[in-house]
Amino acid sequence: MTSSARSSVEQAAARLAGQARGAAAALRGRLPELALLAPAVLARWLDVGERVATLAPEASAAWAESDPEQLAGLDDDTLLAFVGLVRETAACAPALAVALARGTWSLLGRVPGSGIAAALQEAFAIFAEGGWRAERRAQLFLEASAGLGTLPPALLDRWHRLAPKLARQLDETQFFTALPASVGRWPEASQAAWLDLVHALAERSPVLATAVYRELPDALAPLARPLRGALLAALSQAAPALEPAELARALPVLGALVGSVPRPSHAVVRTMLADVAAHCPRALPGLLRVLPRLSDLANAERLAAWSRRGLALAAENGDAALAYFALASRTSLQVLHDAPTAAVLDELQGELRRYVQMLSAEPAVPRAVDGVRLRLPVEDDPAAHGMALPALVDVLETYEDNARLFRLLAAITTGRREFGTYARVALVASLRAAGEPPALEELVLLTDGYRVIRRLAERYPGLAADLAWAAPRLLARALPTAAPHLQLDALLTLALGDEALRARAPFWLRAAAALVLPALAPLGRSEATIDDSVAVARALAPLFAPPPDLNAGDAAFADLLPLLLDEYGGDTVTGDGSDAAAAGDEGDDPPARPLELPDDLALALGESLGELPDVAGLSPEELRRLIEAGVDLEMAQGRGQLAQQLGLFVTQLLGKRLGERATLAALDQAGVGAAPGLRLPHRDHTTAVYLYDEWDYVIGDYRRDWCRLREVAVTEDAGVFYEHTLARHAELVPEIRRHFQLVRPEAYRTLRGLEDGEDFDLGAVVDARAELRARRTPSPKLYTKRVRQERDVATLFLVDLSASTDESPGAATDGARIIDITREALVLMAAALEEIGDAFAIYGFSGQGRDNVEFFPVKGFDERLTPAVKGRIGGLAPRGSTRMGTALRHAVTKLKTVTAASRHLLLLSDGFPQDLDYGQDRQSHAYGIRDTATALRESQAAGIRPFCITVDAAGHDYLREMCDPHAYLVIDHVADLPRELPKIYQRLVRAS
Amino acid sequence: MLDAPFYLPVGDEVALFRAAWEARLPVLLKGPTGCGKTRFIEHMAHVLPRRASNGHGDERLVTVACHEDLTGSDLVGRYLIKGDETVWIDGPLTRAVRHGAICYLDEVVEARKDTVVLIHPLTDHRRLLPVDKTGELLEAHPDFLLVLSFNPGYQSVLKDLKHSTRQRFVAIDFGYPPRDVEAQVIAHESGVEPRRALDLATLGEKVRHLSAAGTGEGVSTRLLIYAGQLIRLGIEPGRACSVAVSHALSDDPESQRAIDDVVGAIFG
Repeated sequence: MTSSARSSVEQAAARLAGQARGAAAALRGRLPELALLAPAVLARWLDVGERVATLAPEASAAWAESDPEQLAGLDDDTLLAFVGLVRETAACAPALAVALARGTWSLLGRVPGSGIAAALQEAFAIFAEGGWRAERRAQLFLEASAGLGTLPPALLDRWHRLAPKLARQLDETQFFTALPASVGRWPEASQAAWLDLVHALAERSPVLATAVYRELPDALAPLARPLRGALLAALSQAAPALEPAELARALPVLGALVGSVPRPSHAVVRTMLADVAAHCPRALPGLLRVLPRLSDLANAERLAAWSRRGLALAAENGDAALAYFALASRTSLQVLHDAPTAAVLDELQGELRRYVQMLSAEPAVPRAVDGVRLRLPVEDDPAAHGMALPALVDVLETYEDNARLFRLLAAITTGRREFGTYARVALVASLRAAGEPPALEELVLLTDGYRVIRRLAERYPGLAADLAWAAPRLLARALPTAAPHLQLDALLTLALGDEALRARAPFWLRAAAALVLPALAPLGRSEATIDDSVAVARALAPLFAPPPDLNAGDAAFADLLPLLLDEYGGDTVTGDGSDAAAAGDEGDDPPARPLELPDDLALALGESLGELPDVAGLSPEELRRLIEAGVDLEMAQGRGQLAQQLGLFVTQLLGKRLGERATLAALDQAGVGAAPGLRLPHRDHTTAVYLYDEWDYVIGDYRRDWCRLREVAVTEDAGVFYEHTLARHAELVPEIRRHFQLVRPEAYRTLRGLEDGEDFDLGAVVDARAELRARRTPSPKLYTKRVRQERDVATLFLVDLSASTDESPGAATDGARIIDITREALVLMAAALEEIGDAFAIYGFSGQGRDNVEFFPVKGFDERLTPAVKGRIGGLAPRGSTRMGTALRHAVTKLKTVTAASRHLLLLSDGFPQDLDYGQDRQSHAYGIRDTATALRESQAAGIRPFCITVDAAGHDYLREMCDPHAYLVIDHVADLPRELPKIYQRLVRAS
Repeated sequence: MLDAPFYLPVGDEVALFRAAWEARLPVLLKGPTGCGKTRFIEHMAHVLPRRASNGHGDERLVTVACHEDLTGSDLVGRYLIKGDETVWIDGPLTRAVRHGAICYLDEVVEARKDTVVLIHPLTDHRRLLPVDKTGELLEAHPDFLLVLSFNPGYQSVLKDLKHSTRQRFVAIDFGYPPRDVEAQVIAHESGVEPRRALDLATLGEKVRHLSAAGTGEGVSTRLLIYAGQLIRLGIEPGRACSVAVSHALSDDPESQRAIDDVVGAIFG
């Protein structure tokens, strides 16, 4: 440093020392750095410092800390104006002046003077509120240059007014500095909407408002600008009507949810968000949660039609619209699937299931995955006989074509079974093991897909024809800008086609094919096995390197690869150098590259993965489905960074829905498509879980898959209770037996007056002879026949095991509880029925909440009265609630498997239907009663005759509503049940 | 003499039956519908040597299709009033017993229990048939043999072959023949070309996978032969199979479509 320069600095410091010692010290401390400056720059800076020290000493400290290079770009006028401003401020509020200088110095030149003036005005407005708090706030406001640089002047007051509202959650200092920088790039309308949203939420839920303030902008960063604007506008409009808790659940993953909407649907979704926010704001969170699913199931046109229907519904019935937009009602799903050309898995699954079972000799349990591709996912657990198929195929012109494609895809899954894809033990796990290339699984889908499909085509000429038909059509879908996994699909299509097809392929695809196809050729031989496929895939892996940012060791996240590559327009795999990143859309911001991805990802996901038993890498579908399933997400500090990167944010997964939802299988027991009673094979346990719809009278529709029912084993008591009861009612048993034996099923009736039969009717023969003699024509009806009274009945006894059965009605029963009396009645009934041989079954039910309805098998129709059954009757015990509707529906499913002419369902209960979430309104039983009534009607429609027996003296009140007048009975004295039940049975069943 | 009905052995059933015949052991043929039980017994009735002449024509096989209303008199016989007279007419069982034919009770489990019990005296060493209406105690002709058939898949709790009955019989299990054998049978019976016959046999094999899960019976060889005949007469294979297999087997549209899909995959 030149001595003159040094001396100038020293002098300046000395001059300052008098008024601003701190500034002087800072100046001296910066000597080494100032030494590196160009002399002119330094001189000017010192000069400015002089003037500042004279005119507005309060700004000296700020000047001393400022960047000399910055001043180089400023003209004197700006500086003077600024200094003048500081001076004026100092006249009224010195502290404020200091803050002003410090906060806005760095903005000089970047922000127009008017902006600074506006900010100052705002600061004064705050200041004017009076009190030390306001003063402090004003200071902080100014010091945090963030707001001034980011927000336009008009919004500044909206911004700083938030500070006191969020004061509990966010210290004011933090508030002002925490303004996310990304907001600065938004259009003013979006910024305003966002601030309004925070305001609206701040009243009711400061925690949520704080989260929206601090983290939402970055979470929404990857979105296209118009979509983001529409989302914010919708949220802020709907905010006053929303429950904060609902929004909180969707919030952390909002970016990912909305980001999943494909470009063509953006316009429709924008309109939909605006409309829903305007007409049915409460439905907004639910709608946001199902956006990924909606996008998969419907194209833009379909979505628009669906949305219109929903809005029309909103005009009539707000609750129904809520369920509609959350895809929770049957109507909603039907409208969505109603595309005339779409082939839907729900409808076709019965046919496809049988098809695959016939071809491969193993049962097949379809489960829906997203996306139509030739390279469908392989099964993690082949023993579960799952079969991954797209939920919807709507890629071709007509329904027939889509259905044909669907069948082809199903046939490919068959081929995997038939040609030994699963011969390699733990296939999926081995492909995702550490040390394997991350793209290995996707590539094996390509290579093994080739092998399997070639063999299929050889063996089944019909499938070869289907393939030849499908290949050109599938190829037409391939685009150079498509995601890598779709490009792999295109490669597979090309590999399976012939020369003519290859000639028609676009140039970029042919180039890739030239590299890949020769490697596939050996897999076409009949001796090729799955191991060969894996070997070829490994050899191809270097061609498909993931973006260099990703850590190749994180094989556990290989499943997320397609998601990431999709989201961030991953590396090109076509080999022709064209940029695979999506062409710019309407003024989009460049998406943030996931630079620190692996560590944070490992952090966030690793913890949650550790809690779950069976999750070896969540697939994108599973994650999405998780979110829709209402998984409770907890927001934690310090993960905000990750949210910025990915928008996908999973810290804690509650509930066991993961296993069942992920393997969304639809095994229809009744053999009718899309009927209630879907059965999901549970991954870890042997108990099956059944899903049933429930009738919600408020929305006037069924809630799809609302209740989960499990069959739970009953602990046996070695038949003790059974024997004991028979001994106790020793006098009753013979009486019942006698009663039943009077009308025995083996009874034969003699039919007379037949023209052909076993034996003569002597009376008729004599008459005939007489007629003959009298020269009249004798009747030919001379024979008799003994015909068996066929009794083809089956009865299911459905026993309420709710907690209330633990009560004892008192003296009348010598202290016995209702459950004991019921069990006695069952024992007597069973003993009697075993005698006469009528088919019957016994099941109990209870549960707790709609997710946990329990069904207890005591005796199935095909079981005899074995000691085990006797033990189970004794083992029945009081449990929980009474969700009658679901239990009835499952009983109907059981009865449907029986082929008797006359089927009866006898419900034994002690109270009205109730459960902790049997209807939104916990005070009223109306929901439960209506749902039970509907279930009873469903049973009648299925050809079953229900009958309700209750020991609740007040039973008339609700049974009247639920059942037909002759289809129920109230037993006045509980103790009479064992005696009455056989009589009731007699009247009902045997008389039919 | 007419040619023996065509039957292609699948296992050792022919040898077994011959041995049973030699010893006059009653036989129970078990198997699903349309797998060849009746054809088998027709064939055997034709080829087995007769010990004594029955002097009553050439009737070697008497078949009774059993059903729920089958009464004792349907089997044994009854009186009919013809004009002025009362005439005793032998039932099929009595005819066989008297004249020495094989009496074949098809789907015996359908009949009433009190009817089935009538055959018990014929199945032990006495080989007697009491006909109480006429007061006779018939001793069976030396060439008489009792053969029953039933379909184990049909069994329900109520329709069951009592052990006191079934333990009087030697049981031979019948199943659908393996693909190449079935192809030969189809080719012979329907006259369709061998390649098509093999396709039809493959179809049969595939469709039977569906019944393995308990969703109904598998397709009988008979139906496949019908399909073959239709194909030979010029009906397009897909349509022939649709008519003879999918729509014959099931009324459930999903099952029908699924079977049609398999037909499409096999036949192209």
